[in-house]
Amino acid sequence: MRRLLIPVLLALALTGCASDFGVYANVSEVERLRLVRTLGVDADESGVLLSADTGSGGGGRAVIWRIRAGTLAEAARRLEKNAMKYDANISHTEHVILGEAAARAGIGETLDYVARTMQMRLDTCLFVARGSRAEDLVTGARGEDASVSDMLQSLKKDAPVIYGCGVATCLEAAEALASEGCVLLRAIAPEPSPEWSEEGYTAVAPAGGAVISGDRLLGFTPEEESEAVGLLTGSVSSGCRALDYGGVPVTLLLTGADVRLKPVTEGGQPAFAVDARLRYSLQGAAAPLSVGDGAVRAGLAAAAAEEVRGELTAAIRRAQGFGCDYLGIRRALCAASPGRMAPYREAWRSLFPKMAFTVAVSAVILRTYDLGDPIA
Amino acid sequence: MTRSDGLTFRQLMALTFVCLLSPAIRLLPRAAAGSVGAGAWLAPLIAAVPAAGLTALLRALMKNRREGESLARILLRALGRGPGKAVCLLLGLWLVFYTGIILRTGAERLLSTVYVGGSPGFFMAVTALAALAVSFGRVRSLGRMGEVSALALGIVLALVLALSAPDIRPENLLPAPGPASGFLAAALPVLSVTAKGFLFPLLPGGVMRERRELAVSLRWTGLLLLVMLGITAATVGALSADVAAGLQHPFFIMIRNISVFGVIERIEAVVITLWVVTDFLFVAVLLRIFDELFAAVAERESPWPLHPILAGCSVACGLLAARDAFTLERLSQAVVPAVNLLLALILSTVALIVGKLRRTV
Amino acid sequence: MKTSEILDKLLKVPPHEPERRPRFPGPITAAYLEEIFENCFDFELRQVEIGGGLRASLCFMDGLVSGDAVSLTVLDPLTNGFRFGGCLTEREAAERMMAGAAYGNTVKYRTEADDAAADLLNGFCAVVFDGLRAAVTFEVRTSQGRAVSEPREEKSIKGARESFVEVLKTNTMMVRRHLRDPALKMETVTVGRRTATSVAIVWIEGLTGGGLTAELRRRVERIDIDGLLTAADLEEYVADSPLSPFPQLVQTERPDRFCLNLLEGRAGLLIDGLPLGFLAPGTFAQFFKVTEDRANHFIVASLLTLIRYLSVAVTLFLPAVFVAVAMYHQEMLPAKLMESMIDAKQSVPFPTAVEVMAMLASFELLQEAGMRLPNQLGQAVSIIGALIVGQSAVEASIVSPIAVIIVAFAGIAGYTMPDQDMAGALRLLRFLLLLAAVFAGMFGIAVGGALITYHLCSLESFGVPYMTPLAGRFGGRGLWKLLRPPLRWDKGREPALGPEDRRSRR
Repeated sequence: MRRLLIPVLLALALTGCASDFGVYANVSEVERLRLVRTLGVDADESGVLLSADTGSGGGGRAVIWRIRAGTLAEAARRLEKNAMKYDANISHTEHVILGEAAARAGIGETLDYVARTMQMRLDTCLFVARGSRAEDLVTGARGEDASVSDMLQSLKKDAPVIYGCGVATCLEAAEALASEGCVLLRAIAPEPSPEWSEEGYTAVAPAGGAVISGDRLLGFTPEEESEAVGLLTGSVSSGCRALDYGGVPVTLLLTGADVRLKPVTEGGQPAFAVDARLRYSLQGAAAPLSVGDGAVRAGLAAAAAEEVRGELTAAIRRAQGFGCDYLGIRRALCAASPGRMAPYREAWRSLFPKMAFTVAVSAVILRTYDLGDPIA
Repeated sequence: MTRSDGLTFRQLMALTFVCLLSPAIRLLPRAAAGSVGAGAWLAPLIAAVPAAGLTALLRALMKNRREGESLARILLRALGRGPGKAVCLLLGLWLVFYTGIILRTGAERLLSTVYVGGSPGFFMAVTALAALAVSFGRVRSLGRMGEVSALALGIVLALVLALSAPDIRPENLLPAPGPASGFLAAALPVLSVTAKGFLFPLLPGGVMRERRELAVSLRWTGLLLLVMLGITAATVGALSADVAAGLQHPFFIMIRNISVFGVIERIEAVVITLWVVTDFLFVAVLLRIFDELFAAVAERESPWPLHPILAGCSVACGLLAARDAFTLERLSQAVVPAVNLLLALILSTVALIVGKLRRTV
Repeated sequence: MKTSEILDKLLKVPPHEPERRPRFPGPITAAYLEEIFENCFDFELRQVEIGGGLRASLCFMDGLVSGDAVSLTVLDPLTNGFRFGGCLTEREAAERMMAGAAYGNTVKYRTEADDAAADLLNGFCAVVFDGLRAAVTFEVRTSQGRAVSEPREEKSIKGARESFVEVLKTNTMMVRRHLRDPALKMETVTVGRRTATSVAIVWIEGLTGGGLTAELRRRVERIDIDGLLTAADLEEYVADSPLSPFPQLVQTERPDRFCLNLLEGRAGLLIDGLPLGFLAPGTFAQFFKVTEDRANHFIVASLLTLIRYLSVAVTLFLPAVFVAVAMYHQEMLPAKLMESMIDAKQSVPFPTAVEVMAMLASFELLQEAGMRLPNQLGQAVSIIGALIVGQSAVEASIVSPIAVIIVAFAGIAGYTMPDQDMAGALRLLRFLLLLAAVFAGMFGIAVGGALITYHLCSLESFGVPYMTPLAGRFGGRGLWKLLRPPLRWDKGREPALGPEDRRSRR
């Protein structure tokens, strides 16, 4: 009996070849594939416009597709199974750009598609095109071997260091929407070069944050607030700050930050306090500064701290203005003091916009990189 | 040079551990996250005492077993011929259905995570046939495979959990104070998984005696609970309780995001298909158990090979009972665990009490 | 009906006839011996006069005996009147010969023609007394044979450099030199109706399990074949599962490794005519150990052993996983590697599965060609095949470079196997897993892997589970024996082997 089973098993395995019965429907030949790195999603009355970019990897030019369909899932399916020269493979998609109009209509469909589709990863980064359509960003990159995928790759890597705050992934967006009902996504905008005469852009610039509440875009935060947002969400690791210290332009490099939030009571009402301790290094000064002098360093630090305090306050007020805790304040407060926050868990969304808060920032200059007082 | 076909105690424990990994991963993270949120990882700890109790109950029933005597024979001895045979028959019928659900669940897992657009029948048939081929062999070969698979799957799980550690955020695991009923509800899936352990001593040939069996079995139960704790903590820690509760296969979705030093990504295909080994082994064990149940009911060996008939019935049951994923989910998340838990509890308790009263156990 | 009986019927093989014993019934006379060895040009018979006039016949097989030994140890004393003078009867002469009047280390008194014929074919000369219907045989075997040389397969840097040869006595001598213990027992069994090959069963009394030795003896004695000339003639009869591609007896050409395994509790076989020693029982882990491990530091040796285990996974699964990933699970590869593969495959006309299968087949062809050709040509063919054919195939876009790399890597991993039989089994299974991957991707590999694992778990060698110490009655105990533990801590012998003496060192 056992000897008969093996040929039967083999024969059964061969039935996997039948495309409507077994697994063979999942087979694709590698040479026909092109890997989609960036997807752009735009929505209008007629449905969804999906644009896709392969990036300029593999030594070739980027391949771009545009597919229009009723829903995102349908458009993606048509993208993969099309009659064009290549088959698009979305399993290596790294970025999804939502056009501003699509984001205002709702990001739920996109998140649902990413979560439901076996090929997509949850750590795919989400961007919102500020003031433009995603299609414009996907198709408008100009320059030798330019592609939006390569630009976004670079932006993603530099975001926490240079631009002050990180880039949200689909998983983070889903988590935040499930727990807080809102999330802050990275907004981007095309940056045309003055030398470039053709229509299009040569770089992608960060354009603040896109506030998503429920699943719709409410508005944007300014790019200048990105570092403050990064400090509050804990996603910033470095950053540059230009100060005017007594008429001297000074550049400070943020080398570390400890930002703690704790719940307090103010006038019998729940409130919270933000305590930020920042560490800087002096990166450059346009005129001689007696950095060796402790008072000068203290003054510089105080000036930086005052600026940051203002930015933090503004960022929190803006979030309260939107009525959305996209800064993760509730989560931070619960981590700091779970017992004290327990009564406010359920009512947080109504409490947060009206909550009082204080922000205290202290800074310290740690070093000046091999140069004491600058050479005159 | 040869000895009677049966398992050593270690083989029984290893086989049980391997086969219970599949339902553990399927049931636990989602159910626990849904019941109790961020504190889902506490569920195995809460279930530790009742799980230990179940283990001790089963062990007490088997304590005075004779050489080569399986749990089926013990049930006959404890309950008497008539009721014992009725219980074995009931168990046999339940196991046909349960085997079908295992096959169907395994197929569905592959279809919804790796092989999009395929047909469940193909996976069920191949797994059933493979299990059928090995079910004609000796029980101790299955036991040895359990030992080898326990080591291999343990290493893979440890690696996966280690690689997923950087993605875990402690704030996702901070348990929120809530009603105790939520935590008890989260512990039930854990208990139902450990309760399935009562099936394995039904294998023919019995289990060899070993010193300190209770301590050894409690150690393995503890290991299983620890694995469940690790899986739940990793899943909820990486995805958050809200997201984990909303996904069908949160553990495999969490693995989807793991990257092995940037060289290999999306290792969920490897891990999910490794889980085919647990389904294959479980089905092979259940097919062998049918032999013993038949022999217990009919008081003789079956003259014709039962396995192909039963395997075919199981595949048919699985396909007919769960035509779509939604019915399957209801059956596999609610009905099957509840029935297994009740069977284990009631059968063990009643058999032990009646057996002690009749002085046959 | 058994499979062998079905095959006999299909192939119309005549029925088995039990071995006729004695084969040559009849008394020993010179004439009868002449009849037995009719048409054998190397059978020599001459009349000799013993001592004071008794006549006898001296027989021997020319080529098997040493002429000098015949002359000096047999003829000279026989014809010496001082030693045999006064012998009036053949019986007296025979008794004097047995008592040492004629020189011979091994002297036997034979009354059956079967035994005399066997002795003659074993390098003895026989003095036949027609009247007595008996013969006295003297061992005068020639020492011609291959000299002890360095092992060809199991090379060693720090260990001994001798290997077994085709002469059984030389092999037993080498074993005795390593194990100078009277408890080292050697029993011979004659196997093969026409080859009458001597097979020595070797064990250490008081250490090797009694059941193991008895079972080994029983299986060897049960062999009823015409000739034992190759290893397979023995292995397929002694192994528990001869249909399994996995080896179940440890083979070695090194006496030191042979003795090491005896000291671990195994029993051994040495076969006249084969430069190999066999040891039973064989377990999976045993086929990954080399004697050199004992010469190296335990950490180094353990790492190397681990590499061999990982190589099993690589050689078995790498081509299959590559095909599964390329066909079904492209998302597993990083984007850059994927793009590189896509570029490389643009002008290749064959699907990935065909590419890999063709490369594997070519690899096997080259390997086989290299082994069949004489050494000088074989090396050249390997280089030509590997470098030129492979490179040309890539440049002509017949195969993609990554397929070549994958197959080459899998092949090289296979070469780390110390045992060629194990390597052969893995090569065979590699193809089956590849087929499974082609038809069902990772699922196919998982089912195939599970079936292979089950098969390994179901194997036993003389009652010892093949997967010891991973699994089995003593499963889990001494898992560290999979690697090379420090010798000071490795005091106990493998319990699964059932040794009578469980402890090997203080």
